[in-house]
Amino acid sequence: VDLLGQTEELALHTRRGNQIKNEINREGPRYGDALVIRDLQKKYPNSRSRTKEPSRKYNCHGLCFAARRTTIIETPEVKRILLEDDYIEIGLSGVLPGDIAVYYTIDGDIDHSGMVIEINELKVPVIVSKWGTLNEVIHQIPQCSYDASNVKYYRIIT
Amino acid sequence: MKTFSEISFKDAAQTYALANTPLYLLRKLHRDPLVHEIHASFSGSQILAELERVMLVPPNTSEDYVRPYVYLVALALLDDITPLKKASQLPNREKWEWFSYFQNVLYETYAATSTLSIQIPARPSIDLTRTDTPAEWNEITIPKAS
Repeated sequence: VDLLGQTEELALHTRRGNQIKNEINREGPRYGDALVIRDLQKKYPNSRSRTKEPSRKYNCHGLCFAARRTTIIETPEVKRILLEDDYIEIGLSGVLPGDIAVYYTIDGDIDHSGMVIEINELKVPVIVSKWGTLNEVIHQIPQCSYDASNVKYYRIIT
Repeated sequence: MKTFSEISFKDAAQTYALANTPLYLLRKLHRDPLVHEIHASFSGSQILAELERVMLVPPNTSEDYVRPYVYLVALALLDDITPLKKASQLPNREKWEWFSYFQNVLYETYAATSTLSIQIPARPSIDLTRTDTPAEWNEITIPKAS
């Protein structure tokens, strides 16, 4: 969907050379976005905003897999990236900064992803992630609105 | 809930803002009490008419953006798929980036939730001499052979 001429697909390939479906939306913030950010800051007081402004240019998957350039909204595309970019799953005890956390639903869909930036003193990974069309947030894995009961960690083979 | 104007879409707007994918929003709205309240309070034609009305006005706030998705999910809960099908023809759909995707997924996964009452005619006769109910079992004593 070309949202009034404000969205377009970028050239974005996996290591194997296949195009990843994506769209960048250059529309500015919408009225109400800032209020939602403020409400969520109150709801998750231990989280920290890495960016203040909302953005529709990229989402969480765009942050993790497309260097914040664009939005990837389809779960099969994320799964294809994990496969075609040679990611391997890492057990929780082996997670390191730079690994990717992927939030799965009970039926195998993917709701969210984030990049691990540290393992805190309680051995809980802390990630930086993009919350939908809002801002980037630094938070512990469970401290967000996404279901963290089935999070898997991945590391790209270099 | 008496009128559409009394509905608060604040929580739904937050869910929409947090959605990284349309399926996340769809799943969350399916579980949202607001959607079920709308479904229970209004008929399919009323919801469809309200959906059409809000889509005639360019969206401005985050609540304006989420409202059509809420109504679409409410339509998908109906026993009759016709209003959901008609929603695919509404004008200005392109202003809501996930509208067509939403409508397609809901249409493809539609499952009627109506209750079908089946009347089974009464048996023409009842065998009173034997049942399988343990309470009505009779002890049968077989006399020993002499």
